[in-house]
Amino acid sequence: MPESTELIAPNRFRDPYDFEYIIDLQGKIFKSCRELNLSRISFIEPYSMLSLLLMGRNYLRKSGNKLKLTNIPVTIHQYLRRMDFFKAGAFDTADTLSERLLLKRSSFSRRVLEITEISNKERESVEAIENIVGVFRKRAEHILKRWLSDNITDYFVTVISEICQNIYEHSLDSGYCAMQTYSIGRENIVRLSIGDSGIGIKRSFENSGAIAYDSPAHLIDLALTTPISSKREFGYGLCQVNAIVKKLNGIIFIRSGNASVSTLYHRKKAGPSFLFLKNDLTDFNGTQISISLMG
Amino acid sequence: MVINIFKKAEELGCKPPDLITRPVGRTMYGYLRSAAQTVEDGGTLVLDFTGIKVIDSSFIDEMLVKLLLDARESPKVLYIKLRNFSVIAEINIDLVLRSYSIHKNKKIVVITENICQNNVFFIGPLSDQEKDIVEFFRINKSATTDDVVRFSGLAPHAVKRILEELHAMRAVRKNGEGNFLSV
Repeated sequence: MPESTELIAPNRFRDPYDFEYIIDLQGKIFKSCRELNLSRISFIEPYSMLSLLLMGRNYLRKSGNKLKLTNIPVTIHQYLRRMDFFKAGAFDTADTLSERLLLKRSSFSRRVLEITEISNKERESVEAIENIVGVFRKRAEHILKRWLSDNITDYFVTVISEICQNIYEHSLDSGYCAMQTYSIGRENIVRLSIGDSGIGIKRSFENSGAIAYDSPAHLIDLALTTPISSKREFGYGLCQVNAIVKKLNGIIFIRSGNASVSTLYHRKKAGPSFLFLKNDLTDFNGTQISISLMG
Repeated sequence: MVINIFKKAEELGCKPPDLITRPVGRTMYGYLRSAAQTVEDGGTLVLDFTGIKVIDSSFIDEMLVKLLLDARESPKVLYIKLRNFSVIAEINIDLVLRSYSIHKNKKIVVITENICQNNVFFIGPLSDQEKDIVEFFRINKSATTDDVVRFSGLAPHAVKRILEELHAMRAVRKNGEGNFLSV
């Protein structure tokens, strides 16, 4: 009997840690899968959505064909359409969504930043970043409604700008940015996700030579906590992002290649275990970042 | 000379209130470098950030750091002063100036008209002694080396060295007679 070309995706799109299960399936997806069945998905958050999009793009580049998404639950389909997930052209889908089921942009727009591509070319990227920041400023009052910290909008503008610039400066590929506020139970979460499928942090530093590190996760941690740069004598971007997330008691998760670092500043007061370095994860192209505030 | 950065950014086709990215920093630096050439020897260029919300580290690196280096390295003496900047602008400028100073082993600071978050009128990594002397000049406007020796309790040769270093950083002004003044 021929092997099935359909893979049923597990319901693992709830947060960056959960999405590791999907990344673990990447080898199987790339090897034999033509269709990804999403029927079991009940929820998808911005980081998982962007990472799925990057996976679809990698699949397309590798095979020359688009991965087909099938049996997409209506609510997930509505959300993906609303977030412009399909505009990137990385996936095929036979599922259709009637016009009357489309989420209204006017009623839902206030809490999201739709997926925006960050080009790997400087001029186009600068324009994209300025547009993202412009839309964010218009919606910030709603996106950050539950977070009353002084200057929080300005902090997020800095974070968006710093991380998005890293895409065209270091990754050698394009990437995506998205943001959303949502609730799980009684917890409110605002999550900014930015990811690319470029060369990743480790390869980016390979030619600089001057940085000593113990493991890929340690290198990510160094990039977060010290002003190192793979392109210049020193850099400010990720360090500044980390300082802002710390100030806001947020969470930063960075995954690059086969390593990740999570810093849970909201739990720092509870004890020392707020920093988690992981190596030997399944390799996934590029660098993906999630920044969250809980409230 | 006072330059309204918001207005100038609009004229240059940048998109205030946020001045972000290296290309935008380079555009603004190109203009300010030309403007600085029209300031008289020993004059002050005041950058007014009214209405600007965020300037990121890339913009600061391309615009302010270069301008501060020009000011201290050009044959013509030029002082730079900032005013009406936002909290996040101050935080980002401080990070960039501190990182630059550590990695280049060359201190750079910028004098401000507004009081900063740490209750001083400059942004950057000055030592406690340097900070006290800059504040002394800000309050007294001008002072002799002897005044500073009496105020600080430091040896005259140490005071002279610090004053020359502060002047090299353009954190205090020096007139034709060799007297020191606030910027």
